[in-house]
Amino acid sequence: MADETDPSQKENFWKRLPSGVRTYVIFCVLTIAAMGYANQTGWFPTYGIFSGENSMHSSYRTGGYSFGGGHGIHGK
Amino acid sequence: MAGDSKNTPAVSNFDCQQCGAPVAIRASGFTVTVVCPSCGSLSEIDNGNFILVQRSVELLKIKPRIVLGTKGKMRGCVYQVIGFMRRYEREYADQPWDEYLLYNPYQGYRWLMEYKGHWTLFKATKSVPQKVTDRSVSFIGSTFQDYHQGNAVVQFVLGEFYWRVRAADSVRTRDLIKPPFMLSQEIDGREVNWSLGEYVEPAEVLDAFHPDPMPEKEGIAPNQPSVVKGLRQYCTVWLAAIVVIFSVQIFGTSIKPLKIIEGKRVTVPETGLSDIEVAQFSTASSSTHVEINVTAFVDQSWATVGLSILPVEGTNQTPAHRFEKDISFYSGYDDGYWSEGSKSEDFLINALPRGNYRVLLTVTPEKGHSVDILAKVKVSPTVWSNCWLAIFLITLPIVWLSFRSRVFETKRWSDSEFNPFAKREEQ
Repeated sequence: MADETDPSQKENFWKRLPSGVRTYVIFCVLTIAAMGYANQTGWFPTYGIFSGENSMHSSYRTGGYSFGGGHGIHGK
Repeated sequence: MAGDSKNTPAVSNFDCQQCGAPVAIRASGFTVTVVCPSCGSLSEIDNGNFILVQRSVELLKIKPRIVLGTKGKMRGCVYQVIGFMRRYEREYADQPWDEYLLYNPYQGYRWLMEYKGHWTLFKATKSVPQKVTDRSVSFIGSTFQDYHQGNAVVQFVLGEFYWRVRAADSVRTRDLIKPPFMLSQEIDGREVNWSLGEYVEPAEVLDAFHPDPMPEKEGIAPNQPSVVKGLRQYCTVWLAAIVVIFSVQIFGTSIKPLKIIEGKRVTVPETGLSDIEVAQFSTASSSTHVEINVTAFVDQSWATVGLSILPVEGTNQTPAHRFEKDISFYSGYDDGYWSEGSKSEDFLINALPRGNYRVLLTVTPEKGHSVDILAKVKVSPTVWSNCWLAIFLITLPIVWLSFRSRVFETKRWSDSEFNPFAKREEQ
Protein backbone atom coordinates (compact mmCIF):
# COMPACT_ATOMS: atom_id res chain seq x y z
CA MET A 1 0.00 0.00 0.00
CA ALA A 2 2.92 2.30 0.60
CA ASP A 3 3.68 2.23 -3.07
CA GLU A 4 0.46 2.64 -4.99
CA THR A 5 2.04 1.44 -8.20
CA ASP A 6 3.66 -1.62 -6.69
CA PRO A 7 1.57 -4.79 -7.04
CA SER A 8 3.80 -6.75 -4.68
CA GLN A 9 1.15 -9.14 -3.34
CA LYS A 10 1.90 -12.03 -5.67
CA GLU A 11 3.89 -14.15 -3.28
CA ASN A 12 2.81 -17.52 -2.05
CA PHE A 13 -0.10 -17.22 0.38
CA TRP A 14 1.58 -19.37 3.01
CA LYS A 15 4.80 -17.37 2.87
CA ARG A 16 2.93 -14.10 3.17
CA LEU A 17 1.45 -15.13 6.51
CA PRO A 18 3.33 -13.83 9.56
CA SER A 19 5.54 -16.54 11.01
CA GLY A 20 3.51 -16.55 14.23
CA VAL A 21 0.33 -17.29 12.29
CA ARG A 22 2.07 -20.11 10.41
CA THR A 23 3.17 -21.60 13.73
CA TYR A 24 -0.36 -21.26 15.06
CA VAL A 25 -1.79 -23.02 12.00
CA ILE A 26 0.61 -25.93 12.60
CA PHE A 27 -0.32 -25.97 16.29
CA CYS A 28 -4.03 -26.14 15.42
CA VAL A 29 -3.49 -28.93 12.91
CA LEU A 30 -1.50 -30.97 15.45
CA THR A 31 -4.10 -30.35 18.16
CA ILE A 32 -6.93 -31.45 15.90
CA ALA A 33 -4.96 -34.50 14.75
CA ALA A 34 -4.26 -35.44 18.37
CA MET A 35 -7.91 -35.00 19.24
CA GLY A 36 -9.05 -37.13 16.30
CA TYR A 37 -6.52 -39.84 17.15
CA ALA A 38 -7.52 -39.83 20.83
CA ASN A 39 -11.20 -40.06 19.91
CA GLN A 40 -10.56 -42.99 17.63
CA THR A 41 -8.40 -44.87 20.10
CA GLY A 42 -10.75 -44.15 22.99
CA TRP A 43 -8.55 -41.90 25.10
CA PHE A 44 -10.27 -39.17 27.04
CA PRO A 45 -9.35 -37.02 30.00
CA THR A 46 -10.66 -38.50 33.23
CA TYR A 47 -13.29 -36.70 35.20
CA GLY A 48 -10.85 -35.57 37.83
CA ILE A 49 -9.37 -33.04 35.40
CA PHE A 50 -12.62 -31.14 35.06
CA SER A 51 -14.66 -31.85 38.17
CA GLY A 52 -11.88 -31.86 40.72
CA GLU A 53 -12.91 -35.30 41.89
CA ASN A 54 -10.15 -37.73 42.46
CA SER A 55 -11.95 -40.98 42.77
CA MET A 56 -11.09 -42.72 39.55
CA HIS A 57 -8.22 -45.13 39.39
CA SER A 58 -7.21 -46.98 36.30
CA SER A 59 -4.57 -49.65 36.34
CA TYR A 60 -4.74 -50.63 32.73
CA ARG A 61 -1.10 -49.98 32.03
CA THR A 62 0.23 -51.94 34.97
CA GLY A 63 -2.31 -54.72 34.99
CA GLY A 64 -2.69 -54.29 38.72
CA TYR A 65 -5.25 -52.13 40.37
CA SER A 66 -5.58 -49.31 42.78
CA PHE A 67 -8.34 -48.75 45.18
CA GLY A 68 -9.76 -46.11 47.45
CA GLY A 69 -9.63 -42.38 47.01
CA GLY A 70 -13.26 -41.57 47.79
CA HIS A 71 -13.83 -37.99 48.75
CA GLY A 72 -14.62 -38.95 52.29
CA ILE A 73 -18.06 -37.60 52.93
CA HIS A 74 -19.62 -38.10 56.34
CA GLY A 75 -16.27 -38.57 57.99
CA LYS A 76 -15.49 -41.87 56.30
CA MET B 1 6.24 13.93 -7.68
CA ALA B 2 9.26 15.34 -9.39
CA GLY B 3 7.05 16.12 -12.27
CA ASP B 4 4.66 18.01 -9.99
CA SER B 5 7.08 20.85 -9.39
CA LYS B 6 7.41 23.95 -11.46
CA ASN B 7 9.32 23.78 -14.68
CA THR B 8 12.46 25.44 -13.34
CA PRO B 9 15.53 25.75 -15.60
CA ALA B 10 18.22 23.20 -14.78
CA VAL B 11 21.05 24.45 -12.57
CA SER B 12 23.78 22.18 -11.28
CA ASN B 13 25.60 24.37 -8.74
CA PHE B 14 26.27 27.92 -7.64
CA ASP B 15 28.32 29.90 -5.19
CA CYS B 16 26.63 31.03 -2.01
CA GLN B 17 26.03 34.75 -2.10
CA GLN B 18 26.72 35.08 1.60
CA CYS B 19 29.78 32.93 2.25
CA GLY B 20 30.92 32.11 -1.28
CA ALA B 21 31.00 28.37 -0.68
CA PRO B 22 30.05 26.19 -3.66
CA VAL B 23 26.55 24.77 -3.32
CA ALA B 24 25.63 21.66 -5.34
CA ILE B 25 22.11 21.26 -6.74
CA ARG B 26 21.27 17.55 -6.74
CA ALA B 27 17.71 17.68 -8.08
CA SER B 28 18.55 20.10 -10.78
CA GLY B 29 15.49 21.33 -12.61
CA PHE B 30 13.13 20.75 -9.70
CA THR B 31 14.79 22.52 -6.80
CA VAL B 32 13.25 25.86 -5.85
CA THR B 33 14.83 26.57 -2.47
CA VAL B 34 18.42 25.98 -1.43
CA VAL B 35 19.98 26.36 1.98
CA CYS B 36 23.75 26.67 1.97
CA PRO B 37 25.23 23.81 3.98
CA SER B 38 28.17 26.04 4.99
CA CYS B 39 26.51 29.15 6.35
CA GLY B 40 22.78 28.37 6.37
CA SER B 41 21.76 31.27 4.11
CA LEU B 42 18.63 30.58 2.09
CA SER B 43 18.40 31.23 -1.66
CA GLU B 44 15.56 30.81 -4.09
CA ILE B 45 15.91 29.99 -7.74
CA ASP B 46 13.88 32.20 -10.03
CA ASN B 47 14.28 31.82 -13.80
CA GLY B 48 17.72 30.38 -13.32
CA ASN B 49 18.90 33.16 -11.00
CA PHE B 50 19.83 32.62 -7.37
CA ILE B 51 18.29 35.18 -5.10
CA LEU B 52 19.50 35.38 -1.52
CA VAL B 53 16.29 35.71 0.47
CA GLN B 54 17.45 35.03 4.01
CA ARG B 55 20.88 35.61 5.46
CA SER B 56 21.96 33.36 8.28
CA VAL B 57 22.59 35.30 11.45
CA GLU B 58 24.38 32.57 13.35
CA LEU B 59 26.34 29.48 12.58
CA LEU B 60 24.48 26.26 11.96
CA LYS B 61 23.61 24.77 15.31
CA ILE B 62 21.71 21.72 14.20
CA LYS B 63 23.54 18.89 12.55
CA PRO B 64 21.42 16.34 10.68
CA ARG B 65 21.97 12.73 11.69
CA ILE B 66 22.17 11.82 8.00
CA VAL B 67 24.76 13.76 6.01
CA LEU B 68 23.25 15.57 3.01
CA GLY B 69 24.33 13.94 -0.21
CA THR B 70 24.31 10.42 1.28
CA LYS B 71 22.96 7.80 -1.11
CA GLY B 72 21.22 4.70 0.11
CA LYS B 73 18.94 1.94 -1.07
CA MET B 74 15.52 1.86 0.50
CA ARG B 75 12.53 -0.22 -0.61
CA GLY B 76 14.43 -1.29 -3.72
CA CYS B 77 15.42 2.21 -4.93
CA VAL B 78 18.54 4.27 -4.49
CA TYR B 79 17.78 7.67 -3.03
CA GLN B 80 20.00 10.61 -2.28
CA VAL B 81 19.41 12.76 0.79
CA ILE B 82 19.15 16.32 -0.55
CA GLY B 83 17.31 18.23 2.16
CA PHE B 84 16.79 18.31 5.88
CA MET B 85 14.07 19.98 7.87
CA ARG B 86 13.33 20.06 11.58
CA ARG B 87 9.79 20.90 12.57
CA TYR B 88 7.87 21.18 15.80
CA GLU B 89 4.50 22.12 17.21
CA ARG B 90 4.26 25.21 19.37
CA GLU B 91 2.52 23.30 22.14
CA TYR B 92 5.28 20.69 22.10
CA ALA B 93 8.32 22.78 21.20
CA ASP B 94 10.60 20.41 23.07
CA GLN B 95 9.54 17.47 20.90
CA PRO B 96 10.63 18.32 17.34
CA TRP B 97 10.93 15.78 14.57
CA ASP B 98 13.32 15.55 11.64
CA GLU B 99 12.46 15.09 8.00
CA TYR B 100 14.93 14.18 5.29
CA LEU B 101 14.07 14.85 1.67
CA LEU B 102 15.16 11.94 -0.52
CA TYR B 103 15.47 12.16 -4.27
CA ASN B 104 15.67 9.66 -7.09
CA PRO B 105 15.54 10.95 -10.69
CA TYR B 106 13.09 8.21 -11.69
CA GLN B 107 11.04 7.79 -8.52
CA GLY B 108 10.92 11.45 -7.53
CA TYR B 109 10.85 12.60 -3.92
CA ARG B 110 10.33 10.76 -0.66
CA TRP B 111 10.34 12.00 2.91
CA LEU B 112 12.07 10.07 5.61
CA MET B 113 10.74 11.21 8.96
CA GLU B 114 12.32 10.44 12.31
CA TYR B 115 10.64 10.99 15.66
CA LYS B 116 11.94 9.53 18.92
CA GLY B 117 13.93 6.88 17.09
CA HIS B 118 11.00 5.78 14.89
CA TRP B 119 11.29 6.17 11.12
CA THR B 120 8.57 6.53 8.48
CA LEU B 121 9.02 6.82 4.72
CA PHE B 122 6.46 9.12 3.04
CA LYS B 123 5.53 9.76 -0.54
CA ALA B 124 2.90 12.06 -1.98
CA THR B 125 -0.35 10.32 -2.87
CA LYS B 126 -1.64 10.30 -6.42
CA SER B 127 -5.24 10.37 -5.34
CA VAL B 128 -7.12 12.15 -2.60
CA PRO B 129 -8.36 10.02 0.33
CA GLN B 130 -12.11 9.95 0.72
CA LYS B 131 -13.82 11.02 3.90
CA VAL B 132 -15.60 8.17 5.70
CA THR B 133 -16.50 9.86 8.97
CA ASP B 134 -15.31 13.01 10.71
CA ARG B 135 -12.57 10.92 12.24
CA SER B 136 -11.58 8.62 9.40
CA VAL B 137 -10.80 8.51 5.69
CA SER B 138 -10.63 5.73 3.15
CA PHE B 139 -7.60 5.26 0.96
CA ILE B 140 -6.79 2.35 -1.37
CA GLY B 141 -9.33 0.12 0.29
CA SER B 142 -8.23 0.81 3.86
CA THR B 143 -9.73 3.01 6.51
CA PHE B 144 -7.39 5.33 8.38
CA GLN B 145 -8.26 6.68 11.83
CA ASP B 146 -7.46 10.17 13.05
CA TYR B 147 -4.49 10.18 15.38
CA HIS B 148 -3.38 13.79 15.68
CA GLN B 149 -4.08 17.28 14.37
CA GLY B 150 -1.89 20.30 14.88
CA ASN B 151 0.27 23.02 13.39
CA ALA B 152 3.77 22.15 12.26
CA VAL B 153 6.31 24.94 12.31
CA VAL B 154 9.61 24.82 10.44
CA GLN B 155 12.44 25.24 12.91
CA PHE B 156 15.39 24.61 10.67
CA VAL B 157 16.08 23.78 7.02
CA LEU B 158 19.16 22.69 5.20
CA GLY B 159 19.83 21.58 1.62
CA GLU B 160 17.45 21.91 -1.28
CA PHE B 161 13.70 21.67 -1.64
CA TYR B 162 11.19 21.59 -4.44
CA TRP B 163 9.02 24.26 -2.89
CA ARG B 164 9.62 27.61 -1.20
CA VAL B 165 10.35 27.02 2.45
CA ARG B 166 11.74 29.12 5.27
CA ALA B 167 12.18 28.78 9.00
CA ALA B 168 8.99 29.65 10.92
CA ASP B 169 6.76 28.57 8.00
CA SER B 170 3.67 26.91 9.44
CA VAL B 171 1.14 24.42 8.05
CA ARG B 172 -1.88 22.71 9.53
CA THR B 173 -1.37 18.99 9.80
CA ARG B 174 -3.58 15.98 10.25
CA ASP B 175 -2.21 12.47 10.79
CA LEU B 176 -4.31 9.36 10.33
CA ILE B 177 -3.07 5.84 10.91
CA LYS B 178 -3.56 2.28 9.89
CA PRO B 179 -0.34 0.68 11.12
CA PRO B 180 2.18 0.33 9.64
CA PHE B 181 0.83 3.10 7.42
CA MET B 182 0.18 6.75 8.12
CA LEU B 183 -1.67 9.28 6.02
CA SER B 184 -0.55 12.83 6.51
CA GLN B 185 -2.43 15.88 5.35
CA GLU B 186 -0.81 19.31 5.23
CA ILE B 187 -2.86 22.43 4.57
CA ASP B 188 -1.04 25.60 3.62
CA GLY B 189 -3.50 28.30 2.69
CA ARG B 190 -5.51 26.86 -0.18
CA GLU B 191 -3.05 24.08 -0.93
CA VAL B 192 -3.80 20.63 0.48
CA ASN B 193 -1.17 17.90 0.25
CA TRP B 194 -1.61 14.27 1.19
CA SER B 195 1.23 11.84 1.70
CA LEU B 196 1.30 8.18 2.61
CA GLY B 197 3.95 6.86 4.95
CA GLU B 198 5.05 3.41 5.96
CA TYR B 199 6.94 2.53 9.11
CA VAL B 200 10.57 1.64 8.50
CA GLU B 201 12.57 -0.40 10.94
CA PRO B 202 15.62 1.51 12.23
CA ALA B 203 17.90 -1.29 11.02
CA GLU B 204 16.82 -0.61 7.44
CA VAL B 205 17.55 3.12 7.80
CA LEU B 206 20.89 2.36 9.41
CA ASP B 207 21.77 0.05 6.56
CA ALA B 208 20.75 2.57 3.92
CA PHE B 209 21.86 5.97 5.21
CA HIS B 210 24.06 5.31 8.27
CA PRO B 211 22.60 7.97 10.61
CA ASP B 212 25.12 9.17 13.17
CA PRO B 213 24.26 8.90 15.97
CA MET B 214 21.43 6.43 15.51
CA PRO B 215 18.64 7.49 17.90
CA GLU B 216 17.24 4.96 20.34
CA LYS B 217 13.55 4.08 20.05
CA GLU B 218 11.35 5.75 22.64
CA GLY B 219 7.78 4.67 23.29
CA ILE B 220 5.49 3.47 20.54
CA ALA B 221 5.13 5.32 17.25
CA PRO B 222 1.61 6.06 15.95
CA ASN B 223 2.10 3.78 12.96
CA GLN B 224 4.45 1.24 14.52
CA PRO B 225 3.43 -2.31 13.63
CA SER B 226 1.81 -4.13 16.51
CA VAL B 227 3.82 -6.68 18.48
CA VAL B 228 1.08 -9.08 17.45
CA LYS B 229 1.27 -9.32 13.71
CA GLY B 230 -1.87 -10.58 11.98
CA LEU B 231 -4.31 -10.83 14.89
CA ARG B 232 -7.16 -10.96 12.39
CA GLN B 233 -5.48 -13.88 10.63
CA TYR B 234 -5.02 -15.64 13.95
CA CYS B 235 -8.75 -15.25 14.60
CA THR B 236 -9.61 -16.53 11.13
CA VAL B 237 -7.45 -19.61 11.69
CA TRP B 238 -9.04 -20.08 15.12
CA LEU B 239 -12.53 -19.95 13.65
CA ALA B 240 -11.60 -22.42 10.91
CA ALA B 241 -10.05 -24.73 13.51
CA ILE B 242 -13.23 -24.64 15.60
CA VAL B 243 -15.25 -25.74 12.57
CA VAL B 244 -12.79 -28.54 11.84
CA ILE B 245 -12.78 -29.68 15.50
CA PHE B 246 -16.57 -30.02 15.54
CA SER B 247 -16.48 -31.78 12.17
CA VAL B 248 -13.87 -34.25 13.42
CA GLN B 249 -15.84 -34.80 16.60
CA ILE B 250 -19.12 -35.47 14.81
CA PHE B 251 -17.54 -37.51 12.01
CA GLY B 252 -15.48 -39.55 14.48
CA THR B 253 -18.57 -40.31 16.54
CA SER B 254 -20.45 -41.60 13.52
CA ILE B 255 -17.69 -44.11 12.65
CA LYS B 256 -17.94 -46.07 15.90
CA PRO B 257 -21.51 -47.22 16.55
CA LEU B 258 -22.84 -46.72 20.04
CA LYS B 259 -23.90 -49.86 21.95
CA ILE B 260 -25.98 -49.60 25.10
CA ILE B 261 -26.31 -52.54 27.48
CA GLU B 262 -28.84 -52.20 30.27
CA GLY B 263 -27.69 -54.00 33.41
CA LYS B 264 -29.90 -55.69 35.92
CA ARG B 265 -31.24 -53.88 38.94
CA VAL B 266 -29.90 -55.24 42.23
CA THR B 267 -31.12 -54.58 45.74
CA VAL B 268 -28.22 -54.26 48.15
CA PRO B 269 -28.93 -54.97 51.81
CA GLU B 270 -27.60 -52.65 54.50
CA THR B 271 -24.73 -55.07 55.10
CA GLY B 272 -23.55 -54.48 51.53
CA LEU B 273 -22.56 -56.77 48.66
CA SER B 274 -19.23 -57.59 47.09
CA ASP B 275 -18.46 -58.19 43.41
CA ILE B 276 -21.99 -58.67 42.18
CA GLU B 277 -22.14 -59.00 38.41
CA VAL B 278 -24.55 -56.46 36.96
CA ALA B 279 -23.74 -56.54 33.24
CA GLN B 280 -21.58 -57.98 30.48
CA PHE B 281 -20.38 -56.28 27.36
CA SER B 282 -17.96 -56.81 24.47
CA THR B 283 -15.67 -54.47 22.55
CA ALA B 284 -15.21 -54.98 18.81
CA SER B 285 -12.15 -52.84 18.11
CA SER B 286 -8.71 -53.01 19.62
CA SER B 287 -9.09 -49.74 21.50
CA THR B 288 -12.53 -48.81 22.72
CA HIS B 289 -13.78 -46.49 25.40
CA VAL B 290 -16.65 -47.50 27.63
CA GLU B 291 -18.81 -45.44 29.91
CA ILE B 292 -20.64 -47.11 32.78
CA ASN B 293 -23.42 -45.20 34.41
CA VAL B 294 -24.24 -46.42 37.91
CA THR B 295 -27.44 -45.26 39.59
CA ALA B 296 -27.83 -45.81 43.31
CA PHE B 297 -31.36 -45.06 44.42
CA VAL B 298 -30.26 -43.35 47.60
CA ASP B 299 -32.37 -40.78 49.38
CA GLN B 300 -31.08 -38.85 52.40
CA SER B 301 -28.18 -41.32 52.49
CA TRP B 302 -25.05 -42.36 50.70
CA ALA B 303 -23.42 -45.46 49.30
CA THR B 304 -19.88 -46.26 48.28
CA VAL B 305 -19.74 -47.97 44.91
CA GLY B 306 -16.71 -49.92 43.75
CA LEU B 307 -16.69 -50.84 40.09
CA SER B 308 -14.55 -53.55 38.53
CA ILE B 309 -14.15 -54.41 34.87
CA LEU B 310 -13.09 -58.00 34.49
CA PRO B 311 -12.38 -60.03 31.37
CA VAL B 312 -14.87 -62.89 30.95
CA GLU B 313 -12.11 -65.37 30.23
CA GLY B 314 -9.66 -65.91 33.04
CA THR B 315 -11.84 -64.86 35.95
CA ASN B 316 -8.98 -65.51 38.33
CA GLN B 317 -7.11 -62.56 36.88
CA THR B 318 -6.68 -59.31 38.70
CA PRO B 319 -9.37 -56.88 37.57
CA ALA B 320 -8.25 -54.79 34.60
CA HIS B 321 -9.85 -51.70 36.10
CA ARG B 322 -11.23 -50.82 39.45
CA PHE B 323 -12.80 -47.53 40.52
CA GLU B 324 -14.59 -46.26 43.56
CA LYS B 325 -17.00 -43.40 44.03
CA ASP B 326 -19.37 -42.19 46.70
CA ILE B 327 -22.92 -41.59 45.64
CA SER B 328 -25.10 -39.48 47.88
CA PHE B 329 -28.32 -37.58 47.60
CA TYR B 330 -29.93 -35.26 50.12
CA SER B 331 -32.87 -32.94 49.69
CA GLY B 332 -35.36 -30.98 51.73
CA TYR B 333 -37.28 -27.74 52.11
CA ASP B 334 -35.61 -24.73 53.65
CA ASP B 335 -36.92 -21.48 52.16
CA GLY B 336 -37.71 -23.63 49.14
CA TYR B 337 -36.63 -26.97 47.78
CA TRP B 338 -32.95 -27.83 47.84
CA SER B 339 -30.95 -30.89 46.94
CA GLU B 340 -27.35 -31.94 47.18
CA GLY B 341 -25.48 -34.68 45.40
CA SER B 342 -26.59 -36.99 42.64
CA LYS B 343 -28.05 -40.46 42.45
CA SER B 344 -25.90 -41.51 39.52
CA GLU B 345 -22.25 -41.42 38.58
CA ASP B 346 -20.42 -42.09 35.32
CA PHE B 347 -17.28 -44.18 35.09
CA LEU B 348 -15.23 -43.74 31.92
CA ILE B 349 -12.75 -46.42 30.92
CA ASN B 350 -10.22 -45.51 28.26
CA ALA B 351 -8.92 -47.71 25.47
CA LEU B 352 -10.15 -51.16 26.40
CA PRO B 353 -8.66 -53.93 24.24
CA ARG B 354 -10.97 -56.12 22.14
CA GLY B 355 -12.74 -58.72 24.30
CA ASN B 356 -15.68 -59.63 26.51
CA TYR B 357 -15.99 -58.05 29.92
CA ARG B 358 -18.02 -58.34 33.08
CA VAL B 359 -19.06 -55.41 35.23
CA LEU B 360 -18.85 -56.14 38.95
CA LEU B 361 -20.05 -53.83 41.69
CA THR B 362 -19.13 -53.73 45.34
CA VAL B 363 -21.61 -51.61 47.24
CA THR B 364 -21.44 -50.40 50.83
CA PRO B 365 -24.58 -48.47 51.84
CA GLU B 366 -24.87 -46.11 54.76
CA LYS B 367 -25.54 -47.95 58.01
CA GLY B 368 -29.21 -48.80 58.33
CA HIS B 369 -30.00 -48.22 54.64
CA SER B 370 -30.48 -50.71 51.84
CA VAL B 371 -30.14 -49.43 48.31
CA ASP B 372 -31.11 -50.42 44.76
CA ILE B 373 -28.35 -50.28 42.18
CA LEU B 374 -28.64 -50.14 38.40
CA ALA B 375 -25.81 -50.07 35.89
CA LYS B 376 -25.93 -49.08 32.24
CA VAL B 377 -22.98 -49.72 29.91
CA LYS B 378 -22.31 -47.53 26.87
CA VAL B 379 -19.70 -48.88 24.45
CA SER B 380 -18.17 -46.12 22.28
CA PRO B 381 -20.34 -43.32 23.60
CA THR B 382 -19.95 -39.77 22.38
CA VAL B 383 -17.55 -38.04 24.72
CA TRP B 384 -16.94 -34.34 24.22
CA SER B 385 -14.07 -33.83 26.65
CA ASN B 386 -11.35 -34.11 23.96
CA CYS B 387 -13.28 -31.66 21.82
CA TRP B 388 -13.53 -29.10 24.63
CA LEU B 389 -9.91 -29.67 25.55
CA ALA B 390 -8.81 -29.04 21.94
CA ILE B 391 -10.90 -25.86 21.79
CA PHE B 392 -9.40 -24.74 25.09
CA LEU B 393 -5.86 -25.36 23.81
CA ILE B 394 -6.29 -23.48 20.54
CA THR B 395 -8.09 -20.61 22.28
CA LEU B 396 -5.37 -20.01 24.85
CA PRO B 397 -2.91 -18.40 22.36
CA ILE B 398 -5.70 -16.21 20.99
CA VAL B 399 -6.54 -14.92 24.45
CA TRP B 400 -2.88 -14.22 25.19
CA LEU B 401 -2.28 -12.48 21.84
CA SER B 402 -5.45 -10.41 22.18
CA PHE B 403 -4.31 -9.28 25.61
CA ARG B 404 -0.85 -8.31 24.32
CA SER B 405 -2.36 -6.52 21.34
CA ARG B 406 -4.74 -4.61 23.56
CA VAL B 407 -1.92 -3.46 25.85
CA PHE B 408 0.14 -2.36 22.84
CA GLU B 409 -2.74 -0.46 21.23
CA THR B 410 -3.58 1.25 24.50
CA LYS B 411 0.00 2.54 24.68
CA ARG B 412 -0.03 3.52 21.01
CA TRP B 413 -3.13 5.66 21.40
CA SER B 414 -2.19 7.14 24.77
CA ASP B 415 -0.61 10.22 23.08
CA SER B 416 -3.52 10.81 20.74
CA GLU B 417 -6.33 13.27 21.27
CA PHE B 418 -8.55 10.74 19.46
CA ASN B 419 -7.75 7.91 21.84
CA PRO B 420 -10.61 5.40 21.47
CA PHE B 421 -9.68 3.60 24.69
CA ALA B 422 -9.93 6.80 26.72
CA LYS B 423 -13.46 7.33 25.40
CA ARG B 424 -14.52 3.89 26.56
CA GLU B 425 -13.04 4.49 29.99
CA GLU B 426 -14.87 7.81 30.28
CA GLN B 427 -18.14 6.17 29.28
